[in-house]
Amino acid sequence: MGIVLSAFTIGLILAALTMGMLISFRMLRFTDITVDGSLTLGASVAAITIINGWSPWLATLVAVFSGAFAGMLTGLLYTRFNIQMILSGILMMTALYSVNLRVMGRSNIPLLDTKTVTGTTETIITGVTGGLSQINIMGWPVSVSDFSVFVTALVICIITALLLKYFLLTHLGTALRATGSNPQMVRAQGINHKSMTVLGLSLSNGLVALSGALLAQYQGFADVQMGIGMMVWGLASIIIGEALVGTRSIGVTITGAILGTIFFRLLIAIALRWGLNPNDLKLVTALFVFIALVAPIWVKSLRKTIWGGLKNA
Amino acid sequence: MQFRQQEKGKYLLVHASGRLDASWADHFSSTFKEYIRQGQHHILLEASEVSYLSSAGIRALVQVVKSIMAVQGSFQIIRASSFVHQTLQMTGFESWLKADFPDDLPAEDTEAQIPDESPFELYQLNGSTAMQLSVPATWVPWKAFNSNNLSSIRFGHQDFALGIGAPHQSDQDASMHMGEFLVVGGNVIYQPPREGDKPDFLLPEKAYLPEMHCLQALHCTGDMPHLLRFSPKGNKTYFGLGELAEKVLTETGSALAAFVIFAEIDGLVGSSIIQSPGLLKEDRIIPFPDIKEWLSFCGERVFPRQQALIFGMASKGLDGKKSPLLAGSTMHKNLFLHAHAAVFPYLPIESGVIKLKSVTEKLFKGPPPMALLHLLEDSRPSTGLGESTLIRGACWYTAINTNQEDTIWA
Amino acid sequence: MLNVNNLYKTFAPGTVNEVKALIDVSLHIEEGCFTAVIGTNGSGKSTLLNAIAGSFKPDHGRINLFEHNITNWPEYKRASLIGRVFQNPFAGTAAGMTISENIALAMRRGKRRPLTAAITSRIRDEIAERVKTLKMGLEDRLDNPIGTLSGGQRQALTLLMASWLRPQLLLLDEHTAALDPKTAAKVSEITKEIITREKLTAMMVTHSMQQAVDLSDRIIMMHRGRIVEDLRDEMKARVRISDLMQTFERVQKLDLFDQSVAEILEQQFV
Repeated sequence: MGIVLSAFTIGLILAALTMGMLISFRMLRFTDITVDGSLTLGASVAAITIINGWSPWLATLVAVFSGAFAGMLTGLLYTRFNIQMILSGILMMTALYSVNLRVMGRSNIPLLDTKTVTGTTETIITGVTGGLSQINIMGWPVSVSDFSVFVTALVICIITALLLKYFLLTHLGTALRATGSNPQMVRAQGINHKSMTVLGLSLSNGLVALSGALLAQYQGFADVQMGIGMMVWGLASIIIGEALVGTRSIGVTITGAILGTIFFRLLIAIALRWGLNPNDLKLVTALFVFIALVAPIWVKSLRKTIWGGLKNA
Repeated sequence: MQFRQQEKGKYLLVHASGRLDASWADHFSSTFKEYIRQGQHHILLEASEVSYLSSAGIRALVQVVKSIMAVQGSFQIIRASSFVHQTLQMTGFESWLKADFPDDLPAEDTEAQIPDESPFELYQLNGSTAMQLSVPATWVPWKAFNSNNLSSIRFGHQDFALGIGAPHQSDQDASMHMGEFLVVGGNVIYQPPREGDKPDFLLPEKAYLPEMHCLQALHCTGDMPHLLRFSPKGNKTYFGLGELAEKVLTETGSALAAFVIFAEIDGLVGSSIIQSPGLLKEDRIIPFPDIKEWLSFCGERVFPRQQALIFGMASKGLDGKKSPLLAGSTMHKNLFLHAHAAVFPYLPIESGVIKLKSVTEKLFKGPPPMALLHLLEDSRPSTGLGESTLIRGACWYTAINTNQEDTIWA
Repeated sequence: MLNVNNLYKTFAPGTVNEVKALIDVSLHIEEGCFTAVIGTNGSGKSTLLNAIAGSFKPDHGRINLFEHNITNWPEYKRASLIGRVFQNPFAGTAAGMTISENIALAMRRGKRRPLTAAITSRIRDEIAERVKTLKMGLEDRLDNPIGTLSGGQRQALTLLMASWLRPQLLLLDEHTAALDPKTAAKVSEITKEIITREKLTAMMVTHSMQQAVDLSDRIIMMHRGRIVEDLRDEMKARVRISDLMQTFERVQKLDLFDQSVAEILEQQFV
């Protein structure tokens, strides 16, 4: 049960990342590699502020803004300086590596024995269960602290998802969604598509930084390397989510992103349990995304070959 | 429907087979009109294999017969199938029906026989032998002028002219609208100097004689006593304007001749004024590209298969003298020419001797002119359009009496 | 109303692909006038429309719309005054979004977009009501992605969207060219209807002379970056397609009039 719970928890935490990438990758159609840097930025900002005695909630909020700021800069590189999409992201990601080291002052900050955002939840749950250190869920014993983290992640994830859904259905959110789909049309409707791109990337990286801040608090340290490969991770989650529930509406798409992240995390956990070398994890993830991207085309041409063959026969 | 045709002397024998109904009627009439255009004015329709004739078919036949009658031709239906025979009898068209071939029908095909037959036929008409020329206005491009330079001319039935002028109340008014015109037998066709505008025309009627205020005019009065008919023979499929002009000069033996051509067009090359020279502020040579605002150029050989009414004057030069109002030909040696052409929708004319007056009467009863061009020769290497060419038609011409002192040589 | 003064635009200047798309184009369009712009391929007619819409900045010249000098306004800012329909039926709508969402975008053309729900039941009813006027049965499909509609339906919706908030100027860029003839006729009809009903000032680029003659109050013909013919009032009233064809021919002929022709005329035109 422990492994399942932890997979769920990490999944819920990383769901913020996936939701953020939903905005950049799916809605703005912007392949934003800033993600790798802004996730770490969120983690490092949260970590450094928490060990300096800030409230973990405030620390998380500041982390979100720092990520949003990074996203904004990427957007400005792209829109104001006409730097290519991928390159804007790469520039930002590279710069953020140094920024993150500067923020943390070193390459790793442990967050042991510090307060985290799960503290409040833990107090409540401990109050409800009467001071037990373990509770029983569906017949499995689970530590209260682990369960608290899970509940906190769940609540944050749900609130984030609801806010995101609401936003995307507002006038502004609708304009943002249209920007990626048809910038020409968006301009013709009097929307500054550049501002929309900047706004979208800010929001996106804000969510990614939220994910990073929570992840640091969950795993108990912030590390300058922790963002590497996160963009591909988010991509894999989006693809799985779309395969699971489709994209009928905004609500469904967001739900898919969350479920996709959890499902992917579960897959990874199982693979690791079966003896997958953690060093190969990123390779496997990349392979998975590769297959997910090309498989639909293969299936299509294969179907054509088969049916075409039958028709000719 | 299918058609098979044989030339037999003056006749064209057409074997038709199939149903002449609504769906074939247009094809039928256009095919026969094409025969007429090719100069076949006596047509025999062998209709033993025409199995059906509807009212739409009869209508097509009526159209064809009308066209043939307009050129004094003949049309007969030979050996009609019983259905066609009955239908035509009942509808009152039995006059078209003939039991058998006419007696003067040659046994063999005459197509491609007599290879050296001349494409020209010459006829002598009534009238005085030579015309009088007057040159009342002698503008040359691009001289500024005022309304005092204009001379007003009233054109009667014996007048022929070409030049630049305008039909307006006053000279002042006219000078803003100077365009090319030509006059054939008193009938004036005038091109307003605005691109895209249709030519206007003024016809003498009863007491009314058209008046033009002329900036430039070559004006002859008299008869056209000679007629030259030309039509394609063998390899000779078209006639150049210069070639016809040379023929006219040769036939008259004169240094200066005037001619009227009424012919089906192969292609015309020319230009026209699109801005009245009355707007000129000073004498000048207008350079390229400003010239584009004063003159249009046809750009390609224009108005194929339409009908041209041309009036022109040609000269071999007089004792080495040439006229400022005649342009030296670049394609024909010792030929000087000035000709204007009015373009009309195609109008077939009868073969043989034909009076100019009857042609113009018929012409102006029909659709209005489409364009008027000052004809040019374009002998640019490789891109040149050549000279204006005609397919078949009539050319009336006359010698013009002239001597060294005449204004035209000035 | 719309004043275009001495507009110049050269694409790829100084290269082999240099195209002088607009050469000294000046134009005044009065309020309520429906102007058709026709011309050969590459004549600059679409470039003129795009210059007015703000797709690019002209090299030289000025564009005034009402009291505004919009020459340096970015495209999105001009959209507060200008409604547009493009040649490509896919260009005017966001394919993945629903009909109502697309229209909701157009309902705030050039206005602030607040953080309130884009589609409320009131807005939805309003949308349904106006979509009904297209008589295409689309009011029952408001929640379908617009990408599932045919080109003609999308173009009709784009037209509706462009005119939802009455634009000061409506720009139609060959908006029926990509449609089959029957659909094109239907969209033409809707165009005429909307423009007449709303008394819109409109400019329509078209390659269909029939459309130009039937729909517009004024016809402008362009060739090689210049306006070569401007038919209005009684001239427009009498113009027929054959006249336009002739003008086209005449204009193209003018291209053949070069230095060598001028030499011929100098020698032979007496």
